[in-house]
Amino acid sequence: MTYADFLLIFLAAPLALLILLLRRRLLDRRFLTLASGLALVALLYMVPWDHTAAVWGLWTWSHGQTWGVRWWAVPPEEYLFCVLEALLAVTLIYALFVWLGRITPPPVHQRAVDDLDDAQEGDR
Amino acid sequence: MSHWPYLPFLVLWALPVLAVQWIFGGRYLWRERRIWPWVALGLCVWFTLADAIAINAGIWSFDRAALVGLYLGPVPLEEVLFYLLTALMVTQGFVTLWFGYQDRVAYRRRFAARLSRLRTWRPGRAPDVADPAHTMKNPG
Repeated sequence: MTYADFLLIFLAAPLALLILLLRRRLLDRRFLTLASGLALVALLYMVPWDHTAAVWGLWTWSHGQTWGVRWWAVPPEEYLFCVLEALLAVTLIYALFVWLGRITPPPVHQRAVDDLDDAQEGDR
Repeated sequence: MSHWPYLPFLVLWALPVLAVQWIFGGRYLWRERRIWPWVALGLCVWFTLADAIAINAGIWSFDRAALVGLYLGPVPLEEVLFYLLTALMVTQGFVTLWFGYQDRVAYRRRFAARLSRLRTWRPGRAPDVADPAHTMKNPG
């Protein structure tokens, strides 16, 4: 198993499942802004910390199971992990708030709905 | 080992963020306390299981001299805590910002009221502008 497999199985797959379940309720401007903003802040806050730990040798990644590249002592998969973890956490809590009725997604702009319908028609 | 151990390095990195979230979003975090802790806990369990698989597969490894020495299977206690704290930072951040944004009008009014009170303030005079905090959609 490589780090990329790990990302696919434990982060990308559950995130994709949540996206499938929520579908157009994700087309909420506030949610999209918050999700991308929090993922960016998480990345900016984690990278220097992770880099320091990697330089100290607190943890190391196997060269054979990563892409072999290091950006600032950290493999690119680790950056992806950080972004995907933040997106998964934000999407999961948003989904719970929506399903429990604590958040009502505003009605999506009709054109966005039409565009999505068109895209789905095209897939079939 | 000529550097910090994992545990204080982790805790000192994460706690200031959690503290700031409680200072600014405490009212929302307390009100929604039946939801977000479960999300953080669930993610912590999920990632701990995933971490066990990654460690067994040899994707990453730790300097054992920098660890406390308590393990859940192959997973160091510090890793469990890492997943819990990062999940808390993100979920608490979401709750604080989402509901804080809903109350933005009330915050703006309160800020303006405080500013005008400060401008018209004279020694010995009682402030005459009411605090509009009660107009919030989501009182704590």
